Amino acid sequence: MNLTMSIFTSIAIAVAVWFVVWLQPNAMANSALGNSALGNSAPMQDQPAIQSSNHQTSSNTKAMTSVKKDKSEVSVKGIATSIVENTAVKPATSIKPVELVGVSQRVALTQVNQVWQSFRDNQHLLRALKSNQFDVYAVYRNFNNNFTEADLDIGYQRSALNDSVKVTASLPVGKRVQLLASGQHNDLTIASVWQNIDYSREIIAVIERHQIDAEQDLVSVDVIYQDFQFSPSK
Amino acid sequence: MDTLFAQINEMEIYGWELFIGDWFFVLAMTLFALELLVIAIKKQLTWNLVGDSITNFVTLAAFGGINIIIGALFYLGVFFYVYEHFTLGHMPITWWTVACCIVLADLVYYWEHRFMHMTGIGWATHTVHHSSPYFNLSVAYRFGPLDGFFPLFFHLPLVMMGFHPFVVFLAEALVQIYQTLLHTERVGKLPKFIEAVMNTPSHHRVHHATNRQYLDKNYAGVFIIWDKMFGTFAEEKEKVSYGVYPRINSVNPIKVFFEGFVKLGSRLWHAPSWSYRFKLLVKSPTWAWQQENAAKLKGQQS
Repeated sequence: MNLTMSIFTSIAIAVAVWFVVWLQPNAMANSALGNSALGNSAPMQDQPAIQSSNHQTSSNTKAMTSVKKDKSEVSVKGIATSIVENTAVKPATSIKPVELVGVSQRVALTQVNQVWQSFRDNQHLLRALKSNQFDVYAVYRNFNNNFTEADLDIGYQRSALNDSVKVTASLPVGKRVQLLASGQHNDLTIASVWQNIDYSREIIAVIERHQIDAEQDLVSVDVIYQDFQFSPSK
Repeated sequence: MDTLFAQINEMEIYGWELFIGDWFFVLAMTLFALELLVIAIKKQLTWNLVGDSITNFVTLAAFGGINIIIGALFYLGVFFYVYEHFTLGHMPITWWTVACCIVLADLVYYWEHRFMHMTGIGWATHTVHHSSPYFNLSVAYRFGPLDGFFPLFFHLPLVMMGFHPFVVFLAEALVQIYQTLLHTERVGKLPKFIEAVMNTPSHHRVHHATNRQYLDKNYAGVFIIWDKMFGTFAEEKEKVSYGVYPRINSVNPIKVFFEGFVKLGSRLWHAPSWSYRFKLLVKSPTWAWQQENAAKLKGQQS
């Protein structure tokens, strides 16, 4: 085979292999992500955390592996560690926290826009979006004493991304108290609901959820208080 | 099957690459020690062979130093920039994707390797790898100054096709690891079905040969089928003589490491025209050798 033919043959082989890669069963890939049950449904608010401890029967090795992974992810943030520890044998799909992929930063609450900008500028994540329908979460936690600073995680739900990307945070688990029902709200309205937070109680997290599609951005805001956070030991 | 198609985190791929790279080096060094032992038992161990082996590892260290810069500045930066902006789509990261990428990385290796042999600029760096008169595992670690530079351009299309850079790095590393194991005279011919499909020590001995019928043959990394398909295959039939012409006859690592570029620089300096200089870079070293011989003959006749 002469050089030109060899090059063309190589290109044809490359194209064929490229198709073979894309023909791999995506459904299997998605299910293997281990987040099918939670990843495509509403986040933990509709799943009372107390349920998590009621199914300690499975000895599925795969589930154990996933649970171990969850434990490390959750315990890093110092939240809901007790849940994971007490559900070590539960199938992974029912206890896996919602994973977020985006940016994480300790920030003054007046500087939040900078983090949002940094999140929006991440072209890698934008390209990895599976469709134009996805959820974005902003999670505020570890507030300082005068509530001027917090750890802020802004991220897409991992299941919304078709690429394997590094998980940057997990949604805290616990009973959520709704501050703002899902709807189209302006920034002022969203900001104003912070006044409805009961600051006398210990706050685990404030969660802002954006359900985005081609036409609208539906925003809801919830808060998780310490005394409502699930802990099987209580 | 679930495992094959399960999505993997990019950092896991990177972790595998580091793990395999590090531990393979330990394994290769152990095998090399055993190889030296066999050579010693056969009373073939010479000071020149020991010196040559040490030189091989010095070139590895020099190559490693240069590669850190190339790796940091070019590979990571260029690969990720292209991956973000100029891809046909991001492929899911699964072991199936990795397997497919290995096949393509091997095909890319074939072309990159052929390029290194068939162009003056490529040969200037790759000649270092071939200049040893010996053939053992340490020769696999005998690198030229820019051996890590050219693969960038050949592997970039894989990133443009949508393979994650870490997947490409892992596939590239696995092809290199397989290649490394081929550098030995201790393994004879393997069973026919293996020799038919896979690259083997026998096939690679041919590649390192200076015997006329073996020149510019067997460029493959993992699969010898590329050479068979593209007409560059030769089977090991007669005893192989290793090295390059003219012989380098030195174990001085500095001379070994830079010899190719010194020779290319000298040819460029004495070139009669700019078009000739250009040809020296893009045409094969055999072409340059033929031109020089023709010029010598002409000089003798006049």
